[in-house]
Amino acid sequence: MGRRGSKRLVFLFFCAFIQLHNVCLSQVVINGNVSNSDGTLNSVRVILKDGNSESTFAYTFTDENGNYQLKVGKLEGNYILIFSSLGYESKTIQISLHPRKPEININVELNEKPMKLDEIVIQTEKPISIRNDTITFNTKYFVDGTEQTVEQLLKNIPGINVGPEGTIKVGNQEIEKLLVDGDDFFNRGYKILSKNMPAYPIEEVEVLKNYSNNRLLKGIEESNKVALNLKLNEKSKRIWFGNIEAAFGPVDFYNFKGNLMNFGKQNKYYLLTNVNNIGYDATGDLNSIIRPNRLNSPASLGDNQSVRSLLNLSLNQLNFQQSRTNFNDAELLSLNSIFNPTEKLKIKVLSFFNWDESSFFRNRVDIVDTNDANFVNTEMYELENKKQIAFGKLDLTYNISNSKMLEATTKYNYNNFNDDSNLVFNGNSTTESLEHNNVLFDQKMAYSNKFKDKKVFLISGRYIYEKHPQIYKLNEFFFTDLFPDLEEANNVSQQSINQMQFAGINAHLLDRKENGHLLEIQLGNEFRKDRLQTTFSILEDDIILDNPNGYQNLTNYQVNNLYFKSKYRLEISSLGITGKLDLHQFYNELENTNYTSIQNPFFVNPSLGFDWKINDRNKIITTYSFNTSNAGVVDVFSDFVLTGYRSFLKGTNGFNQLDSSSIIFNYQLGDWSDRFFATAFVLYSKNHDFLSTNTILSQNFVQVEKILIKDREFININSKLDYYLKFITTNLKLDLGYTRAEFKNIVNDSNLRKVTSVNFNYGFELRSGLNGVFNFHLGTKWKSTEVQTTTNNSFTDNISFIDLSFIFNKKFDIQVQSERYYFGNLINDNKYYFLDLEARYRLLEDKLILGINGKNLFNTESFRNVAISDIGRSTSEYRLLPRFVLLEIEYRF
Amino acid sequence: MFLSFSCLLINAQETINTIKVEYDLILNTDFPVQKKGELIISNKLNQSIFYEVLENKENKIIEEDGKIRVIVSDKNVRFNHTDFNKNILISSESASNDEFNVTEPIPSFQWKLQDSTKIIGNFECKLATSSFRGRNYFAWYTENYPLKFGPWKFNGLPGLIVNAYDDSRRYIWSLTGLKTDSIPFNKYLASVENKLDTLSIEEFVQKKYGSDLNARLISKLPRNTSFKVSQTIRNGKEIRFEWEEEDQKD
Repeated sequence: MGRRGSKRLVFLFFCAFIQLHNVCLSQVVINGNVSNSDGTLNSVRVILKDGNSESTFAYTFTDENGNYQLKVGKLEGNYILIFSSLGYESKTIQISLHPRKPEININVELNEKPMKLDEIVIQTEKPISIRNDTITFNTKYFVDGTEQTVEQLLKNIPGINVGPEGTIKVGNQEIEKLLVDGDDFFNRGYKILSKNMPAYPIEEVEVLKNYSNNRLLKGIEESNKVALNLKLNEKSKRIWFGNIEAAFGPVDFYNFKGNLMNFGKQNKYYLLTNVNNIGYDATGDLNSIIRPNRLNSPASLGDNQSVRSLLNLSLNQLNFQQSRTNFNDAELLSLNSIFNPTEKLKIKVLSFFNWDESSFFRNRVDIVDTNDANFVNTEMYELENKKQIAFGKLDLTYNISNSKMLEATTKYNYNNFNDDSNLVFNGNSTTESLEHNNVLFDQKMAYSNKFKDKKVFLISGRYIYEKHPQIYKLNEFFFTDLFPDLEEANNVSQQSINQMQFAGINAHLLDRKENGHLLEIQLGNEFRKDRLQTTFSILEDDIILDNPNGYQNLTNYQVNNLYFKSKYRLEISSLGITGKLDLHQFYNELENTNYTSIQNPFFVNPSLGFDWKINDRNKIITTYSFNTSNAGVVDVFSDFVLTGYRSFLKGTNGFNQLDSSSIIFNYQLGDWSDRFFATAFVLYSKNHDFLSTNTILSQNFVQVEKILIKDREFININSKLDYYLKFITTNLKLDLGYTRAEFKNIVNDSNLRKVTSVNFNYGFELRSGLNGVFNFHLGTKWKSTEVQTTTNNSFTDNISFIDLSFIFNKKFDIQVQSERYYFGNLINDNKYYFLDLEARYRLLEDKLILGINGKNLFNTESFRNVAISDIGRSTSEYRLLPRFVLLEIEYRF
Repeated sequence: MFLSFSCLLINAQETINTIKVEYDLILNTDFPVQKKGELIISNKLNQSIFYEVLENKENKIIEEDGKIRVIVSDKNVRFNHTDFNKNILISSESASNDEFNVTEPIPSFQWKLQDSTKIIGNFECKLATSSFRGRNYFAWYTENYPLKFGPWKFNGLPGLIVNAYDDSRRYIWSLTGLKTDSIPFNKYLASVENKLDTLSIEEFVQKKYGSDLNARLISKLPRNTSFKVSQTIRNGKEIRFEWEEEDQKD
């Protein structure tokens, strides 16, 4: 008892850390000391319970001197006090509490009781389980009931980041696919799904690290891809859901989108539609479905095989938003389904239909000033493209066993185009028309066999047929200088058929060694047969006057490529070395207008790469490769083909193999999230042989002939630097780029002349990371271009932007974007300004969203820019979509 | 669920030196990881130590007398050492690539004992909740083991923690094994010792969060990308400290 007073302070100190489940104004205090036969005992639990020993009213542990103090508040009645410690017999003491007796002192002595402590092992259900590269989240642990869409559910899962545009990242890496029960509809177009699919049918979310598109290659091929898999619960079969988005504005601008889907366990359906005339390209995401390009990954045989057309009526890519010049009227319908009739068989059917009528308007002045050619051409161009696209794809996957799989893909694509232009060329009013279609049939089979734990054998075969016939008509005859005898001629036409057949077979072995090294060997044969037929006619009204010699082609080109490819990757701590050696035996047969020649070249393509992580902050990747490539059909034809209303192109009429070497060097300092982050990239490539041009220029026509020349050089240096300015909470980004290309060509029977083109760009951006309502992002970039031949041409452009963001609250935000273009080579009208604004108000959280979307608010009507080349320069002016404001409404169901 | 038994005698004076409790840790951070942790308790010394078990390739197992296994590694071991005699908690922590030993008085968790019960394994567990440094924790404990120590910084429950997690389930501790151990507590303590600098918790927080990382990240995004500024960039276990609460309320 006497000891108690002296230990009072120690008690208080102790009690501050061992929480008592009690109120502060305790009136009854139980205290005392616990000991055993040898002395005091610490860490003995003292617990106050009711008589049934059900509820705990207070507890504490003894301190290092065996003392305890239990504040029990205003409790009254009979209770039990239990003293327990592992290795001792528990002692229970009955006590009676009454406010009139504010202090109770109980000292106990515990008896040792050797007790059996079982070694216990527990396995319990966990919200998250991690197995190898798969992390499974049991969603019931992560929802609070407010989640409507998959996107919102994913936001709740730690480690998964969803950007405002819906980009899903795991850590800092964008996902490859969003699977539903292991099935993939949309590839990279997954946002359509994540933004619309409701969350409630989802039982588990799986993060698949080191993801492989072929399940048998998992852990064997080199992969750093990430994918997500949404696992549905049993009861969520056959539920239809989706959304509707509609936007309308004055002057008949509209945009309508609809999604409808049903993801049953057995069958899955997805329907999508879009109708718009605001320049929006709804098929952007769908292009990766028609021609997915998985170059250099297993079973990508034939992915790079297609027909290239020689004549197009379309405008060049612009260095600003394409949608501003796209006067369109597009309709899209897409129907997709996946069936799983048996456990082993999966059938996937994708289809889409796209109709579009789009118009472009361009005025151009070409100033040609080189060697013997000096003239000015003016052109007013109105182009109308009509297209109908139908695409269907059938995928069958048959899982023979856990280690064997058979896949078959059948694709059919039919495109029909009608392009018409109204053209005023140097004051002559002209019309062009191009009718063409494209038929594609593609059949692929692949068999994969994981015959050992880390060894996979794949065999794939593919057949592709593609045909692209064209009829081109020009109602003017600009070629009097070429055909002086045909005085009556008043129009021309060209009919062409470009078709190809591809058949390939590939055997691929991937062998991941015990030490992590990877050996890949491929043996294959690819056969491609091309037929290019062009007929150029000079007409007087409907009567063909001539099919001039030298302007007709009938080319049959067959290439058989027997190859052996090998690749080995070594990993020695932080250094990775990849060596590649490809051997090709070609058998080429070229038939140009009944003259046949044969060639059997053999070549070796080696490559060597290093990736070295010097330390946490410094990384280097470098690659050297030597490559020989075999010429394609668009290089080897014999006579001129019309490629535009005033241009002709002629092939080499012979085989060519082109050698090139390249070196890539990439250095990274720091990490993206660091305060200071810098990268440097250098690419140097040298074409030991390449196809250059011999050009005859005149006011009314251009004739280009492909010629084989030695030595073309290209160097590109690019450096980016990020530095965070703490005092203004803003990041400074510097961007520096340099490109130099040097080659030789011939113009108007000159000698080989050297052409050097140099591009230099530099700029900076500032972007704030403020915590409040407002944020800004501004930047400016100068781009200077110089082309040196016998004469020099150069100019410098500048593009600047300021974006402002106001996020007032969860329901309401406004985004403003503005741009300024300055063209140094234009004397007047050299500055252009654009302003776009978007505001969104979430009326019912993720059910009903209202918005307003204004484009081109300064109502800039046209846009001019300048291009320079080795023959002169040209100024183009584009007509732009006028100012419009849309009211938007989105409803999800 | 399965149980395996091997009988060990607990005899207070001679044989029990320590009690070893094994936990699975789930750190559900960017790229979640699963780790193993061990809680070594010495009631007699009034101390506990909780450490992360290193991967096999990182640690060397030293055997003494054919049975003693102590973790030895070139890497510093992540640990929390709770000493009630001195009222001090030492934790190894990292701040921008540097590691430190961080000291603080043993924190009070202000546990609220709840009525919920649950059977986990063969333990009858009761629920207690607590808010601690910006996260709300749920702890399922068993009164059958009257131990005040817990994994990480947890302490002061009326029994051993079987399962604990924060309300976002970013951090999860699940008991997987429990046994007595004849290795003296001091051997364990020696095995996690390091030569790192020591900081008080206040100094450490200043070091770790003094810079404005979040703003730095947002300001690096390219054009036409953005994300909403989240309220905090502190996404560790501790996101708000006692001495900061006044600032937050303003």
